[in-house]
Amino acid sequence: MSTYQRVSDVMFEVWGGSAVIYNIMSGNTFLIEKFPIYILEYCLLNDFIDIKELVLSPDSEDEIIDSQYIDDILNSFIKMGFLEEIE
Amino acid sequence: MSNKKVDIYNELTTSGLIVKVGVFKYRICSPLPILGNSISVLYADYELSEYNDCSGFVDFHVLVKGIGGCFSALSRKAQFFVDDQAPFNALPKQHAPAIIEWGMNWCISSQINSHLIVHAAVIEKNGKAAVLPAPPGSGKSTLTASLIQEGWRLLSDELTIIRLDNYYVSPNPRPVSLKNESIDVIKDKYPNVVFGPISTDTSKGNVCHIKPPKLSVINQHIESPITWVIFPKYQYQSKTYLTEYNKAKALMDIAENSFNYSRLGRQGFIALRNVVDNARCYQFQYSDLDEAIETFDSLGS
Repeated sequence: MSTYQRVSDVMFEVWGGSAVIYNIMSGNTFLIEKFPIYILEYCLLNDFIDIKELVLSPDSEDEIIDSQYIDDILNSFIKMGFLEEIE
Repeated sequence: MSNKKVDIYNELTTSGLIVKVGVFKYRICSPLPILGNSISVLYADYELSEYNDCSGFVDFHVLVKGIGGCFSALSRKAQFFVDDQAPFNALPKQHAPAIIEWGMNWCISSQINSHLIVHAAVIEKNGKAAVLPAPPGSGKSTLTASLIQEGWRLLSDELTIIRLDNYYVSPNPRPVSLKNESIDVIKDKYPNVVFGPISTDTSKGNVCHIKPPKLSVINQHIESPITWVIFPKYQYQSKTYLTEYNKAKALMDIAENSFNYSRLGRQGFIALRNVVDNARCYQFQYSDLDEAIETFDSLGS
């Protein structure tokens, strides 16, 4: 399983099940909907992201979390310029 | 407010007429009589002064003059200048009343970065402001023109100017722009409303501005917190719907309608986040103006 590094400073706000993320470095703003907020917070508030921690997160018991789903999310974050894969 | 009677035509054709709108001062020069007529009607209640008597900084030096003829009086086209630059193509001279209003909007939307500028009308009642962001054709100005005849204070018809320190709206109550059918709708419903000259066959169709209520002009120094963000949409024969709108989507939509959100960077995001967080956000669909007024009054009461 890969490890990811956060490469952008971001600001974000969560309202209900939606979030708006502002990438301070690029100036881009993103709307994220229908998304597990704990994953968003974990990815955007930590410098390094370990997939194992996400999959095994105790907060995830109500969610159907598998590594493919997590991969898809992390790839989205890479496209948005928040993360990069480091191994 | 200045008590001195200003000769508008004379100032426009000589050193310039100073018009103070909200926190901005314009110096307007023009030799075109049609513009003098328009300003005399629409800006009668504003703080006007002569350029030579003006103290302090003038934000925008604007000029509308005839071009394309040997003499200005013979020219068929008029062009807007700000600081001696012409940002737009010349248009038929009879469009001068619309040209000056569009140009004055452009000054703020393209040059001001001390505030967050959003393409939205904004009105106020009981100290609470409702921001109405919407693209052209959504019925925003017709709704605004109607609401300001029904006791709402006009803060702006076109540009919502949001302070970056406390996120209050800084009023910018200029004449309200009406287009095409909306002109007759407002004329029929409010016969006492004062209209400026009509500019026919512009790129937006027929355009006419109405004079803002005197109280909105007198109280243009009173800022207001944003209580509601309402996205209006006129839909022919629609019932009236006011539905709660997701705040995250509302933020994205306001950003889309903002002129300088990107230029402001982090400050812009922080401002919008605070605006949206502290406001109730709605989508509003209507076709009947009376029902629309009722809906807004129930919010404002």
